[in-house]
Amino acid sequence: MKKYNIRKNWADSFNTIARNPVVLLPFIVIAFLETLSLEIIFFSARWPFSIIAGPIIKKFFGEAFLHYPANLITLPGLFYFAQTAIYILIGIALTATSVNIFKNIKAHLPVKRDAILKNTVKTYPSLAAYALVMVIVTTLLQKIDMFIFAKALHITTKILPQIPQQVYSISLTIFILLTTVIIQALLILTVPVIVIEKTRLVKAIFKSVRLGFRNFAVIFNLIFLPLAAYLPIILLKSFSAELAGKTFPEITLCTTLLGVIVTVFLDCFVIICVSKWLLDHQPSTKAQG
Amino acid sequence: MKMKKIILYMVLILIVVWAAFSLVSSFSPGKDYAAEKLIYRAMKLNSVIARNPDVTPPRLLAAVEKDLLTLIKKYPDAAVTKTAAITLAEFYISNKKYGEAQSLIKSIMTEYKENAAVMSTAQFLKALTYERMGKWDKAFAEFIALRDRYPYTQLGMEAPLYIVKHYETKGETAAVDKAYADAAAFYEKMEKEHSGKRLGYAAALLLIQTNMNSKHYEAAGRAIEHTLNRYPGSMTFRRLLPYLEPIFIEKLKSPERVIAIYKNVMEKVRDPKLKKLLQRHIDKLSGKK
Repeated sequence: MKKYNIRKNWADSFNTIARNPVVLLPFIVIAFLETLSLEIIFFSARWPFSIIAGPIIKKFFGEAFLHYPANLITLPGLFYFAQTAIYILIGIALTATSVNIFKNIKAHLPVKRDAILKNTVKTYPSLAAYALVMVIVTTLLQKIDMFIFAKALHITTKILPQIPQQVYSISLTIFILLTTVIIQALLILTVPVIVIEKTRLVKAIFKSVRLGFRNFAVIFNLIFLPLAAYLPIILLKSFSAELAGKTFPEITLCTTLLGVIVTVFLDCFVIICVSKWLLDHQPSTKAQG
Repeated sequence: MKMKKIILYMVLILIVVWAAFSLVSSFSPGKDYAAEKLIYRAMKLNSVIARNPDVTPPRLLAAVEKDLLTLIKKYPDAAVTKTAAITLAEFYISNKKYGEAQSLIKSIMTEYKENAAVMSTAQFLKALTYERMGKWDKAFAEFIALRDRYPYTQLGMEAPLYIVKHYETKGETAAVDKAYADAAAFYEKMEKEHSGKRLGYAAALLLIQTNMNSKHYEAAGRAIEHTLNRYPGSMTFRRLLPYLEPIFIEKLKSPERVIAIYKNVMEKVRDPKLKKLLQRHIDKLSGKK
């Protein structure tokens, strides 16, 4: 069996996006919605927005988080909730739209807005359900990661008590990223399978997992490097409270915004790479190639 | 071209939303957020100064003073303005600007007549200013005024112990004894007047502390017994039970009193763990007997 050329996939995917930036547009819309929600959250502690948001923040976080600079500490946490809601309600559908555009470009078909939107609407229930599954899986995974890491930490602190706390935080972040990429390698093909092969959700998930297991090394390597580029942003976010103390509290807003901008390119690149891999493995495409 | 237009519109919407939100929140009745930002900046600078006050450049001192003065003048109705005024008074005292401190304290006491917490703090700072100026007679009179006018506040309650501390630092033994006696009399009176209430409880605890510090162990033991009977509860037990053996056994050589108190407390305790612990102590002490 011929070895799959990952570098060629990356280069082709990059060229496709560069030549057809319309593929990026759905991710730009996601970024727009996320930035809008970030603005709303940023102003939620201030009058008159605090009239509505105040009691909610007070109930879940405490009175202090309605005031500067504590309100900026809660910002990444609140933004995560908004991001999750956007992902389930519209983000996943926009991701599928991007895959659809990419598929048409590859098949030399015209990119017609109405037809693409119609396709997305048809698959929306499956996509939204998949997004929900992904959120649950990611949340569970993080909890399991924390549990494993806490146990490992307990043992290592006994052996190496002098290691600074920051080393543990960085290690945990890398560990979470690594396990997330492993899970992604198994589930990431679901959306391209739903869009390209027009398969139902359960079948698509099974196919994604099956393909993921069979081609684990290729898919893992295909997505790991692009997603690893996100590591500096995750680290910046996890140290945002310390960073805010040493610089200025608004830095949390800057790092969150930076994360939104970087995600546009990374998420688009990753999904296009795996979609291209799927197209490359389709019998008809292979025959053409 | 079309895509560029869409992106431009999205960026414009984000900018307009940001500008509109900023504008609307600037009409906040007390201008609280802007005031909170200013006080945060001043406090942060002040903490830098406090770390190394002897080598602080004058521009840093001026920056803190300027921020706090701006806040007080520009946002008189903000919730943090009173904190800013108090902080500025403390700042003046720690930088030996006693004249400025006194006039500021005077204006605070005129402005916040109705606020007992602010008034008691201002009264304390008034006394502290005289003390730092080396005018103890005036400082003493102000501390007594603090005790008598604001006995319901923490600073008012602790004023007698502050007087004791002053004499202890100066090494004036006779004055220390008298100050301890005055403090004990004050806390006894407060406890009787507010028996069964929170203030009475606070006075009872301070009475125990005063008697223990002044080495009047018999009085301290009596106060502990009284407090355990008058204010039974897990918090009281957790706080006072550890003192029983050091006072009644080590100092007063009276283990039978401890056993009696333990038995008395056991009747009121619901926590089985604490009951077990008390029984173990009773058994141990009975064996000794």
